[in-house]
Formats: sequence, structure tokens, C-alpha cells
Amino acid sequence: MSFTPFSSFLEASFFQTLAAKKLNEYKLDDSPKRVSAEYTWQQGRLVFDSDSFSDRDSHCKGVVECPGTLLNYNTIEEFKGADKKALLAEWGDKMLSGAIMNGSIFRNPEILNSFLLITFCDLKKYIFVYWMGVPCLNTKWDLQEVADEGNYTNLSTRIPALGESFVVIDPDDNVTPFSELEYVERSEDPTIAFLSPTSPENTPWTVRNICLMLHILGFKSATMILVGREKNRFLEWKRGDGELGAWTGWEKNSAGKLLPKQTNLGPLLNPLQLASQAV
Amino acid sequence: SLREYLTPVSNTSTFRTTGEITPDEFVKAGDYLVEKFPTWSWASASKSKVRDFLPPDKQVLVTRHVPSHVRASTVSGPVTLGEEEDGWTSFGVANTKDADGDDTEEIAEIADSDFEELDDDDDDAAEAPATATDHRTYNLYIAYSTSYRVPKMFLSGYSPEGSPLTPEDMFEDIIPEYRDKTVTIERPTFQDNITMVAIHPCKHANVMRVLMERVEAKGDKDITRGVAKLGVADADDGEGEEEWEEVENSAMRVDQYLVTFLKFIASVTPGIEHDYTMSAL
Repeated sequence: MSFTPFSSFLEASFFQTLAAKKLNEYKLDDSPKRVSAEYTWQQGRLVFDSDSFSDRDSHCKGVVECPGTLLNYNTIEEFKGADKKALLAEWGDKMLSGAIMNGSIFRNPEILNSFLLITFCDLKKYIFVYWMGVPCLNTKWDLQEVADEGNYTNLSTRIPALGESFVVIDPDDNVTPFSELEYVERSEDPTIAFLSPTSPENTPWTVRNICLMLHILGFKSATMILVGREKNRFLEWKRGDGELGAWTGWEKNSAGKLLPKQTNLGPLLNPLQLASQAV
Repeated sequence: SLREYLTPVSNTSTFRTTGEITPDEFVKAGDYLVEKFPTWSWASASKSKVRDFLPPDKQVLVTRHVPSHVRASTVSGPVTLGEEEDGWTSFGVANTKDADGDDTEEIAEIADSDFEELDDDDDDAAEAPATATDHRTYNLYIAYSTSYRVPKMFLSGYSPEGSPLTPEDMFEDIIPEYRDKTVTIERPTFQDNITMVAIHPCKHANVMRVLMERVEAKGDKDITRGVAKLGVADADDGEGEEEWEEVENSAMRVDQYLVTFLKFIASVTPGIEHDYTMSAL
């Protein structure tokens, strides 16, 4: 089974806000910052905009807010020199494993899509270098696809109607909040349904972290429903005793390489460049 | 712009004869657009940019992540407005290249080779991203221009990597006839501290007047014929046909104004798949 990673999508307003924060607030502080990104149901892009830096106050149905960590380096040397593999492991552990073990995952299942964004801003030239990673373990989980038996109708309306993105379906087929998972006996076989970030032909990255969560929590088996707008998919997970594997998840660029991305916003943001463009 | 700031808002309806609309009519047309084409929605403005002649939560219309797979120059042909006789005013759109074709300012980007490529850590479970190298995405905005009393289009484009395009890149997605004459780089009226590519609205009233006459004339379905090479037919699979029939049988209502406006904009930006939003009926 292969999994489709999230694609990063960083709007101009994100960079504009990052530049302003760096200049006025962070200055030389390169400590980790909590930020957020959003994905829309079935469109697997994690979108960053100016709201990434504050509490998002509008919650549109079908738009899922995901938490993450921003590490903004002060120099390009520090950005280049950072140990990328170690960073993924460190933050995968903190954001994911930590949340699973301290129970915060139950109240905030979007943590399963936690990301790391490392950046460097050249505020003279308005060039931004960045790289997004969505950490997960490259474990070979025991996952089988099973047929849709038509038992779960209307999940595509019921789940968004609740304003949720992840739910637990109880043995009586009631849609219950994801937080209920905390109270499910580990010997039982829970059914977790969530709004899939990808269209049905692809399997989202999120599945890998759901598997990790089930494993750490001590479940023996579970069913996942990847809810689409028209069509659902059903996966059955079974606990295995193989190795857990290593942390992975840095985004590949459109050439398929594991390299950071960069963008030149001089023409869009730099006041002096704007003046020279005006006629 | 200063002109926009100084021009008073008019509330007299003249749209059928002049092609211009009042702010209230803009809101009505926007409500219709948002209802019929749910990929469009209303948005508010940055705090410093809120304009009081529009509701605070309806300052601008926006649609996001519209795909664009081909550049305008590979799609379009010559453009005329049919009856339009006077020439277009040239606005001397800013160029970032000097006479030699070089960038006037050295934009020193950091070469990929400067970064250490990570090992592909045998994670064969990860599916490679299937992004074509010319696949861009656009956020499109329709604001209201007080000086010209018509809608004004703003574009914010993104590369296949999902990062912002330069204005120069975005010009490639506008047909050459418009690109050289009426496309500008400006601060949008609804958002702080950023610039976008805009299509200057000075001719929009005239264009809309012509298009509305065509819509109302019986038996003429292809209203954008002569406006661009692309006809209405490209967009629809039957549903579009029904929509035009409905409009033809009566005089065009102001709430349909923005739908017509977008057909015109689609002809100016033929590589941007607006019609993908319109067939979502």
C-alpha cells in the first residue's frame, strides 16, 4: 500500500506575516513556534496563510485545521546545517508520540497531521527558503483494504454536520466524538472514520499516524473509514510485532527530490522593488 | 489609488445601458454567484481596508486553488470586441526586464546545488507527488471599483511547488492583447501589504454592455464570440446550455451580471480553469 503525502501551499500572506513577525517580534529568537495550516477535504494540500500565526476563528465545514511547529532560522548556514533527519525524529516524537501518550490526541485528533516547517527569511531580498515535513514512522503496518458493505451511509454529511473531522463509530453505528476513543477497551475493535485529505484513488498520509496511534494505545485491531464526498474506503489494521521503523516525512519537491523550496517575493513585497515597478 | 478614494459612490442603477453597477448591485450579483457557484465565496477585508459602502463580510469575492495547466499564449488567438472601434489605451505596464532582456535587479536565488539533498530513506510506501511542472494554481478575487463602477479582477498565482508566483510569471497567464495594455501590479483594495496582478477596469463597462446585449438578443448563445477564441461551449456539458437558455428568454437581470463578467474574464485568462468552477452546478 502506498500513501500520498500532503503538498505544501504557502500563500503570499503567510510570507508577508512571517517577514513582519521576524522583523518586529521574533528578531533573533529562533525558538519553536506553534503555527497551523489547513487542508480541505479531498484536496491534500496543507495551506499556510496569515491566519497560520493566530487562532483561526472561522471553521468552514470540510476544512480541517492542523497544528504544527515553525522553526525559523536566523542564517542560511543554520538552515543548511540543521540535521534534518534528527529534526523529524525529535518533532515526530514530541508532536505525535507525546500527544498520544499524554492523551491530548483524543481532544485534538488533527494532531495526527502535525507538521514541521523550517524557514529562513532574507529580508533584504525577500527570498524565503522553506521545507515542510509531516513526520510519521515508516513502519510496514498490517493494513488490508476491505469492501464497502454499504453499512455506513451519509457519513459524508453527518461528520461535517457535527463540525468534526475525525469520529468514532460505536458498535451500534452511532457517530460519536473522537474523544470517545479514550474509553474504548483496548481489546475491542474500534471504527475510526475521518474526512480523507485525498480523493478515493489515493490513501492519505494520515493513515500511517492512525496506525501508530492504535499501536501505542495498545489496540489489537481496528477499522478505518476514509470518508470521501462520494465514496468511502475501508481499511482494517492489525497489530504486528515487526520493527517500528524510522521517522520520515520531509516533502519532496516537484522534481521528486528531497530538497527545500524557495520563493522570491521581492516583486510582491519589497517596497523598493514595488516603487521601481510602478510606472 | 487616489482616484478610487476620491470618486463618490453612485447608487443609481444604469447597468443595462452603461454596463456599470452600483455597490448594492455588486452585492446582489455576488450573492447570486456564491449561491450558484459554491467555489466562490464572500470575504471580508483587512481591517484598514474595509469600505463602508459594502457589508463588512462582503468586501470581495474569492475563489481559491483554481488550476492552470497551460499558459495563455498557447491557448489564445486574436481578440476583438466586435463593434468596439476605439483602440485600447496603453498603460505602459511595468516590466521587470530592461532593454537587454536582463532583470533590472539581480535576484540572487540560492541554487538547489547549495543544499544537501537528503537520502531517500527507503520509504517505499510514500507515493511520489504527481505534479506537472507547468501546473499552477490561482486565487482569484473580484473587488468593486468605485472609479469605474464595475468589478475589478485581482489574481494571486502559485507555482507547482505551492509558493507565490512573481507578477512576471502571472503575466504569462493573461492573453497577450490584455497583458501589454491593461494588466497592472497593484495593492488590492481589500488586503494589506501585498500586491497582486490586476486587470484594469477602464473598459469593463463597455464590454459588459456589449455582452449583455448579446445575451438578451434571441438566438445568440455564444456571447463571447469575438471576445476571445474560446467559446462558451468549452465549459459546458449540457448544464451550461440550460443556464443560457434561461437567460435568453428574458432581459438579463443584474444578479446574473457577475456570471457574465466571469465568462469575459475566462476569455482573458484562458489557461486558468475558471469554467471548472462554473460547471459545478
